[in-house]
Amino acid sequence: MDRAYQISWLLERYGGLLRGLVGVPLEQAWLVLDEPNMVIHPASPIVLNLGGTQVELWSVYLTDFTMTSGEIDIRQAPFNWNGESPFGAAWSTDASPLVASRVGRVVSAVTFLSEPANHCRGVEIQFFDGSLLVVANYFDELFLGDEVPSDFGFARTAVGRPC
Amino acid sequence: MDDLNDPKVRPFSRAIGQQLGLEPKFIDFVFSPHHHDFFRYRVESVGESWTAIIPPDVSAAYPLWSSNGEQTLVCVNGEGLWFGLGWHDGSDDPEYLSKSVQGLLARLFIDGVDPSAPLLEYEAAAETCGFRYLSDVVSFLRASAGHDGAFQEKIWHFINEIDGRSVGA
Repeated sequence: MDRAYQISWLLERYGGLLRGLVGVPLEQAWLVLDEPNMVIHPASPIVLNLGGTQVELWSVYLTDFTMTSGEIDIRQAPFNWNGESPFGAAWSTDASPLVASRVGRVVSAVTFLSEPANHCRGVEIQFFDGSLLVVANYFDELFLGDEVPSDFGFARTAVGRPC
Repeated sequence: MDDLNDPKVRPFSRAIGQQLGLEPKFIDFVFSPHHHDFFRYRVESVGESWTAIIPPDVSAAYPLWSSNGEQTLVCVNGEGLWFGLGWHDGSDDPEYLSKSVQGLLARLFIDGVDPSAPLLEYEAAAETCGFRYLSDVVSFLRASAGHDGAFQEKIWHFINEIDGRSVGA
């Protein structure tokens, strides 16, 4: 498994950044909308602006999940090719009502989700009002939810809250 | 003043206050354009103030008001919230004040109440900020008359007690 999908590497690389998100609001969130078909493009990252820190969450291949920070210029079209998206994709702030509803909420904890051990499958962001935003890769499907379904069988590794 | 702030100091808003679970009356007090005379010089706009240092274990700090250029902050980390006094000079971390809004307000009233004056004199000020422990503060100050060397320690115990009674209440 590539180290970018390992919880241990993600903690080492981004643990400090994620801990620093506790107490800051989700200011904006973008997904890639396949505009001709009006569906979310599931292989593209979800990009979050959390108190000025940009976090990109990636579902990759069948079961892999990772993150980057500040790597995507949201002003550029997705899959930018000579200034345009080749198949009519666009960054959207309202492609997912669930994600849009979390904008303005303040982060209280961040948790990595894994299955099997150390294999990152997603991220759970908890807000001070008790609500959640779960972003995960569930067998090649970009899962966006307000809780982690128990049948996913994910283990949890707290990041933004002391273990 | 923003560039003088530690980068983790962020503008406070009503929405942030609601998200953090602060009491609505207290949020109204923070954003009130005019405060009761009792708070004069001790609760002022944050516009002319800043906090130079926020420690690593705090991920965000929101200034509520200022006094003499020092900011009263709500500090947030993975364990929750606490209130502190940030310094505009030097390299010291903010001073811990309380765990709760009521504890923070208790400190304001301890600093401002004359225990020999009638309680009535302070009730209007307490009402404007939603402070519920005015009579406790007066009793505490009367019982601590003389302000001996243990006064600061007594304040700590008193604030902890108020925190314990009001957090999650």
